[in-house]
Amino acid sequence: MKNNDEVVSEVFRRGKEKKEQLARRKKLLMTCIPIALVVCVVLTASIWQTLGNPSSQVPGQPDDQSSYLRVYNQAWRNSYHPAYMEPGGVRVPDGLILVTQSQNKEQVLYDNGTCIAPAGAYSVRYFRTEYDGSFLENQQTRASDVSVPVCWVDSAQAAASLLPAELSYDEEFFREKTLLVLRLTESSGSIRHQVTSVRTDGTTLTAEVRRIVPQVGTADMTSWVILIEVEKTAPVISCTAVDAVSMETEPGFTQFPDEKSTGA
Amino acid sequence: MEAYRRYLDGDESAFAELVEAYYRNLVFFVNRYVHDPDAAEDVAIDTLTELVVHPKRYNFKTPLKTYLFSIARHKAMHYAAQQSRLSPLPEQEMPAQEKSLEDAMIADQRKQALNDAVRQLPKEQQIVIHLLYFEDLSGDDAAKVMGKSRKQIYNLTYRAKTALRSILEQKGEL
Repeated sequence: MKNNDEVVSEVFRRGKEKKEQLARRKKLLMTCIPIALVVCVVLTASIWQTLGNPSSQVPGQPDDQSSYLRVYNQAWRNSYHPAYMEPGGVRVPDGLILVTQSQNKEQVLYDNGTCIAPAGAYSVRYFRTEYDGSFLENQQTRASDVSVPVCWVDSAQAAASLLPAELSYDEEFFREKTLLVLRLTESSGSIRHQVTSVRTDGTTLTAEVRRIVPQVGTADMTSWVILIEVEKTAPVISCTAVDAVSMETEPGFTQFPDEKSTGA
Repeated sequence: MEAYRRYLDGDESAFAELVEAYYRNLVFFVNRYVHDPDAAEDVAIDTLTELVVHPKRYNFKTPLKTYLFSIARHKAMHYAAQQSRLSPLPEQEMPAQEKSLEDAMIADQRKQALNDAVRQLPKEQQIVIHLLYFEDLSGDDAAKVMGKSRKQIYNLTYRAKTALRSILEQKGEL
């Protein structure tokens, strides 16, 4: 058996070694913690983007679209609120009506001989309604894409009978403008839409709608009603029918394409 | 405990008093678990090293002996578990080295006879008898060292005494 002096020196030697070891571990930990925090932040940001952060889905938009985008994003964020799923009638929650900014009214574009409605001579309102909302049920005109019922409202009386009172379209409005109403029913509330153009070939006023399908979406079935306020220019007045075309996007599409003008 | 307080105040020579007071008892106690005097010395030194590495862990509310034996028990059990995983050999007769260690620790002939009988008890009964009768710890302190309740210690002691009486009667010691 060791004598006491040997034991004391051995204890101090081991104590010193262990203290050094603990100091090394502490130093390593202090180095690793900031790195781990950075990794966590990066991963969280990545997951957040993958799950469809609304603000990351719509980059590259013109400045004059910012108000539309902001409110649209708010609607997207609020889309899980039960108020939007209220059954038995159309509900337009405060702050959910979204109005795009008009484009340059002077600009008239031509595309393969087709007269396109003046770019920006329309504005768009979107609002979300419950899945079984039926105010367009009997009024809809079947469009080229049958998944997009479209209705042409051209009088205050028709508007009052079809649309929620909050949207107050009066005679004065219809003296200068006309209204296209689309309803899109989607399997997920995360799928969003953008009216990319309103054009006319002389007889039919056609709205094009782009569907924005995020990589990951919620499982709530919902409908979006889109109101397109079109100025009554000469090509529009000559139209006798309305049509709507929805352009399918590939799943995983997460941002608007960089287009010259969203009105054309 | 006073020696440890002096050591914490900066008097390194006080540690020698702690070693003098507890080292041999720790070796003897740890040997109950590890059955290897060299390993028992190693574990006992490790136990005392805890006083150097983590001086603030001891709160001076329990006896230092109880605190040290608690640490020693954990370290000894850890060592024994490691050894059983590495070389799970069946228990054999007590080696001569171990026997000499115990003989050195127990000068009293009657205590040596008692120690021989204790070695035949189950492990936990051995430990409780060791703490109560070889280390003179109280029941409460033995409970703290073994991580058991006072009632469990009482029951263990009762069973150990009954078994010891039987063993000693068979040997003709009683």
